[in-house]
This record gives sequence, structure tokens and C-alpha cells, in this order.
Amino acid sequence: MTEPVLRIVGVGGAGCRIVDRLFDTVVHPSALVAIDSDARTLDECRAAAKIQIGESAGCGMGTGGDPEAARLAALEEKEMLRALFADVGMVVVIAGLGGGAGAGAAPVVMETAREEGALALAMATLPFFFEGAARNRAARAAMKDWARHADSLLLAPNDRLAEFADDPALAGAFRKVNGILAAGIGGIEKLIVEPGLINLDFADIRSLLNRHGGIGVFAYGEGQGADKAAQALRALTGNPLLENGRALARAKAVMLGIVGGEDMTLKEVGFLAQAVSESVGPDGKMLVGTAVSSDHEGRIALTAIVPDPAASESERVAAVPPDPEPAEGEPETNAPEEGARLPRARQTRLKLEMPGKGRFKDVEPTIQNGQDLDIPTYIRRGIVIGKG
Amino acid sequence: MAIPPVVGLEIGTSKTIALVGELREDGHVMIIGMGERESAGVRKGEIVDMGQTQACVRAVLEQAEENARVHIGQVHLAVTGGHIQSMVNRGTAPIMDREHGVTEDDMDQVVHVAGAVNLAQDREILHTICQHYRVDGQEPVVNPEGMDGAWLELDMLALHGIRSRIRNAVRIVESLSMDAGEVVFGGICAALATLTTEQKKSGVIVVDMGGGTTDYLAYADGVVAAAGAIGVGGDHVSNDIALAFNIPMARAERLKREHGSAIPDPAQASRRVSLPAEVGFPSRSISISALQTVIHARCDELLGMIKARLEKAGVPSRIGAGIVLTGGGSRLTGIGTLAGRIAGLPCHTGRPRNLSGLTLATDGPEYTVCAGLIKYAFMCLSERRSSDAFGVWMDRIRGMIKRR
Ligand SMILES: Nc1nc2c(ncn2[C@@H]2O[C@H](COP(=O)(O)OP(=O)(O)OP(=O)(O)O)[C@@H](O)[C@H]2O)c(=O)[nH]1
Ligand SMILES: [Mg+2]
Repeated sequence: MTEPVLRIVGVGGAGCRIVDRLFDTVVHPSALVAIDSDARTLDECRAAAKIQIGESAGCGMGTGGDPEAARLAALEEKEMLRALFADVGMVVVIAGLGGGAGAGAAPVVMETAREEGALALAMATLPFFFEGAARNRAARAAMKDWARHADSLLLAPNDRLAEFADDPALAGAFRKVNGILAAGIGGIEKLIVEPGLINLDFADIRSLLNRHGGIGVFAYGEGQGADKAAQALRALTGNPLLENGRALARAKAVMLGIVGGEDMTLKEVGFLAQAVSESVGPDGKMLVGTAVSSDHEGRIALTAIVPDPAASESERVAAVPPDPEPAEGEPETNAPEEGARLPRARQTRLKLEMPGKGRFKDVEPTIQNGQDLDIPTYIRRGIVIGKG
Repeated sequence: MAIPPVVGLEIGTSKTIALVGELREDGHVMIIGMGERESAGVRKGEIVDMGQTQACVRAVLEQAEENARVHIGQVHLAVTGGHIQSMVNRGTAPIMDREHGVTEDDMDQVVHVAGAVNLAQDREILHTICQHYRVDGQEPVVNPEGMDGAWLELDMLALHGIRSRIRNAVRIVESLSMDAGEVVFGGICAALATLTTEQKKSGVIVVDMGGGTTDYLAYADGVVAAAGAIGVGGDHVSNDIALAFNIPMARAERLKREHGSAIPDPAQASRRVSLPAEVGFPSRSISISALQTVIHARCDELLGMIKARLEKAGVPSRIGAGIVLTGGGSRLTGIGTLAGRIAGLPCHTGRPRNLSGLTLATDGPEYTVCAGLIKYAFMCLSERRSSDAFGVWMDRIRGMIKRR
């Protein structure tokens, strides 16, 4: 058993619920982390590490939609996050935009991941139209903040996701939608950790995503039975998240993950790669990865990440320029397009002797039953510690 | 001729310790000198920076030489690390002489067979320990000599670890132009230092809690039934505290010593400790109950893991003499009570026996392993001289790394 090479972090109510669903599908449940201010959400989430934020500030039941409070609360846990992200190659951050915790705390998570040298891949749901203008405005604002902190931001509007869910009840619809998101994220994990014919590595993913703006969409499709490849392809290209294929046609690049069982043939893989590359714009670049997983017998699952330069462009230009904390004395300028992104390099480590997994960094992690014993027990057991 | 003094070295996660001991006529060991220093380049019991560790070991040995006024030419080593594991291997050999029953030759042969353990490429055997013999599948016996039958079987406990990590310690000693003598697992040292023959006979579990690793060794039915190490120790407790309260490691360490407890103390539940301001950290106060909750979670997990491993190795849950805790980690308030509760056994802190000399070295639980290592070295010496200063060596533990 080795240490997870990636961590999947759910932030806020939506993020934690999706991570809970992932518990059943991921290869390494020890990679799952849940962060929220709401103790009850954490209780109900089966993550390996749970971090309650803002407890000392009295937000034990949620931030009540205040991203700034959530951001400050998350900063208090910076060392903990550092510890969790030391030595991982990629951190997938998931949250629903529109509330407080997800919107405000997730950027701190991404920033820390990048400081630790990991690729930060963010996935956000956008609120339903019916949630009202205020929530949608809040989500827009948060999205801009996210785009500045993540290597890549993948958006999944709840309205589009709900087209998959035939459940009229809201709770049921959320459950279905979360299942779809979890399946897609689980697919990405498998591509990275399960051995396959073609493994995706972090460097490739990073260069693909970085070269094509920061924002994109993500989609998932599945097929079963004799023509499982064709079915999966239809499910993917006809996916509402990809605007029924239009997003693919526009794309300058696509990352396609193919997960199947032992019975998946080379022919099927070839067919899928060919078909997707044909639907991508003429000079589109494609990155394909495959994984063979024993629980995919008789099935093929496709996960696509499609950077959307158009969306990136419009968001970037409209991005709110200054950092949350502008340096003192510096005149507030409109940050240039690239300057808005954080420097890629590892930032200075705290000079003081700081705690963290860093202490146990140079030796092989102590892994037992899928748990990394170097991570504090109370975190893995989800025990909430009063900070004050 | 008197046996010359021996030197034991333990390159621990937090401290590197060298003790120099002399064997006295009556069989007890006198500590005549010591060297000690905070370790450098060691994490979780394993050497990660050879250069740093070498400098540290050199300084410690020089200090010990000066302190004991001896010249050190050979150093025995205690080793630990989460990579050290044990397994039981069964060997079978025919009984050659049907008239006289099992002979010493048969026993040598079966020891040889049982000792041939299949290991992964990167591992090597650190010790082999004879458990029981059986003749034709009958009841297990400790000494089968003279018994009639066709086949002799032996269960052998083999302790093994990753070769390169074990060799690192040897290499450091050799790089200082000294001989590496015996290389001994820390858990065996702790057992030798503290346990009485009575305890071993009625069954006992020794747990040595170090800075970065915890070693354990269990006697049941008169033999060493299981042994191993887990790469979790006192450092993890401090690290957990540092992370929980966002304070520097050194401060966490102090909090652990002064206010820590493995069992949350209800009488202190509402109390708080205040921490004065420090560079980069504002002054603040911490709730004792939160502190002790963090510590409890870690200790509970660690001790629970050892219990689960012993169960898996088939060690019976009823162990007459209970648990003996040693090592710096045993200083933590409440750890004995917690260990006792988890295992459902009596538990107490062990002190090195038959040891005199420097009181620091003979009283501190941190020095137990090193003291046991010196005893081990003397046992090997006296075994070779076939003197019986220690009587029969009932443990039948063999070091496999280096024997001369
Ligand atoms: N797909 C999906 N979206 C959800 C779910 N729950 C909430 N959302 C969406 O996510 C947005 C944010 O809601 P939460 O995640 O509950 O908010 P939070 O981040 O915990 O923020 P506070 O509770 O205000 O601190 C909402 O506006 C919804 O659009 C869910 O289970 N699944
Ligand atoms: Mg919430």
C-alpha cells in the first residue's frame, strides 16, 4: 500500500456530500478529505480526514453564506492543509458555489495545494436558476476568485446536471447529480492511480490545462453491454454539460479518460479516441488515458475535461483584480491577466519550526489499512477539536 | 580473564545514546559511562541523512569514551523502524537415529530448515527465535532431545527488515573506523533489560515507546510468540498537538510533558493552559480537555494497533504478567492505564534489572533499550566462552546480521 498520490477535497455542504459518495467508488478512500464549518455535514461524510473550520469563530453550523468568514477560518488550518498536501501530485477540490464555505474556503485549499507543488484541479457546481439572483451573483463572484487560485476550474451548472436526474424532489435530484459528479471524479482518480495501457501523468494534465486558459467543463458518460463503447460515446457527446457536444467542437484541447474492465478491447479504446478526436475542433489537442478496473466489468466509463478558452477569456478579463489582501502601500492596480494567477513555484515555507507532516516527510509514510498514520489520528477519526 | 567492557549504541529518532557497560562477577551489569545527544538525520527510527547522523554518532561515542575512560573499538547496535516485522516459519526434518530419539544433530538440522525463510529481495533476517518443537505432530515441547519419533518439527519466529535500512546503522559505525558488533532489534533489548524469567514464563508483552517508533515483543507459553515495530511514536503525539493547536513543535512537546495525558482527566476538563507569545505566534490559551483528546486519540490508535497485530499473530488474550511499558513514551501520564484498559491486562512501567552505575542511565526509561543491548552483547560473549554467567539462554534468540 502506498500513500495516495492525490487528494480529493470536498468543501462546504455540497462538496462534502459529493466526497461522501466518492467513498464507495474511489480506489483509495484514504485520499478523501472533507472541510466545512458545519459539524453535522462532517459527521455525515465518510472522509478519511475531516477538518472543521471556523469553530472558534462560532460558525459551528455553517457560515451563513459568508465566503470571507470561511476564507479566514480556512487560513487558520493552513498548516494542516500543508501537511495533507505534502508529497501529493494533485489536489482535486470540489464545492458548490453559492454558499459561504465552499466559495471562501476552497481557494485557500487550492492555494495551499499549489504552494506544496501539487496541481490544483477545482470543480464547482453553479446554483440552480431557481435559487435566485443573489445566490447566482455570489456564485459568479466566487467563480472569479476560484479561477485565480486553481490550475484549472471545471464548472458543472446544477441546472444542466439536473437534466440527468429525473427525480422531481430536490433532495433526490441532488443525490442523482452528486452521483454523476462522483462517478466522473472517481474516473479521474482511477486514471491516475490504476495501472492502464496509457497512464495520465500530472505533468501532461497540467500542461494541457494551463495552456488553454483556466476554465473548462467536465463531463461523464457510461455504456454497458455489447456496444458499450458506442453507448458511452453517445452519453458523453450528447451530454448537457458539454452543451450536447458544442463545447467539444469549440475546444482546442480535451483530456479523455477511458475506464473499463478486463474485457475492454484495444479496438474499443481506439474507436473512442478516434471518435472524440474527430468531434474536437480541427487543431484540437487530445490527451487520452486508460485504466482497467475490476469493478468496471462489462462497462465503459468516459470522463472528459474540456478547457473552454472562450469562458476563460471572458472571466479573466472581468476578473476582480486585487488580491483579497492587497499588500500595504502598494497602489491598487488592475492586475494584468497573468499576474492575477499565483506564482507556480513553491512559495517560501514558514521560517519557524512549524508542525506538519513535513516532519515525517523524508521517510516512507507509515500506511496501515489504507490510512496514513503520519496524519494526526484525531483528523482521521473526525474528532472535532476546539481551537481556542 | 575478565570480560572487557562493551558499548551499546541506539540511534533513536529523538536521541542518540551510547552506554558503556561492564559485566560483574555476580552477573549484573555496571554502566561505567555514557554519551548522549539529540539525534540528527533520523525520522521514525530510520536514518534519512547519513552525514548528519554520522556526525552525531561520532560526538556521542567520543563523549562515551571520555566519560568511561575507555577506547571504543567495537559498537553493538540496537535497530528499530516500522519496516521490521516478524513471521513464523515451520521447518521439518527427519529424526535420523531411531534408537536414541532426537539428537542435537536433528535439532541443528531443523533449525537450519526453519531458518530458511523466503523473503522479498530487499529484506533480510535480523533474528531467528526458536519457538516450539513437535515430534510427529504431538504436543509442542521446548526441548525434544531424546524423544522418539520419525519427524521433528520446529516453529521459528523470524524477525526481518529492509536490508538497506538495517545496514545504514552498521555503515555509520564502520565509517567511524569502528567494528559493528551485534545488531539487535530494540524490542528484544527492551525485553532483555526489564523482564524476569517468571514474567516470560507466565506470558508478558513488552512495548517500547520511542520517539518515532514503537517496538513490541510478546512472550506466551514460554516462548517469544510475536514481535514487530510500528512507525508511530512520541513524535507523532507532539506533531498531532502542534497541528491541532497551530503551535511550534517544541512548544507542543512541552505541552505534552507538562499537561498531556493519554486519558482525558475529568478533574482538569475545564482548565486551560495559557501560552505566552512567541515569535510569530500570539499569546493564547489552550483547553486541557482538547489537548488530552488529541493525545488520547493517537495513543488509543497505536495501542489498539498493537493489540490487533498480536491477535492476528495468535497471541492469546490472557497473558499472565500483563504489559510492561518502556521507552521515553512511557513517561506520558495515563499511558499505562490506557494500555491496560485496551488490552484488558495489568500494565506497569518497566525498569532495567540487574543494572547499576550511572543513575541517569539506569533509571530513565529512555535508556532501557541500550541497557538491554549491553546485556545481549554480554550474553553472546559468554555463550561463546561457554561460561554460564547467565545460565541457559532460554530465549534462544539468534542475531543473524553479524556474528563473529
Ligand atoms: N450538486 C449539488 N449541489 C449542491 C448540493 N447542496 C448544495 N448545492 C449547491 O451548492 C451551493 C452551495 O451550498 P452549500 O454547499 O450547502 O454551501 P456551503 O459552501 O456549505 O456554504 P455555507 O453553508 O453558507 O457556509 C448551493 O447554492 C447549491 O447550488 C448538493 O448536494 N449537490
Ligand atoms: Mg454549509
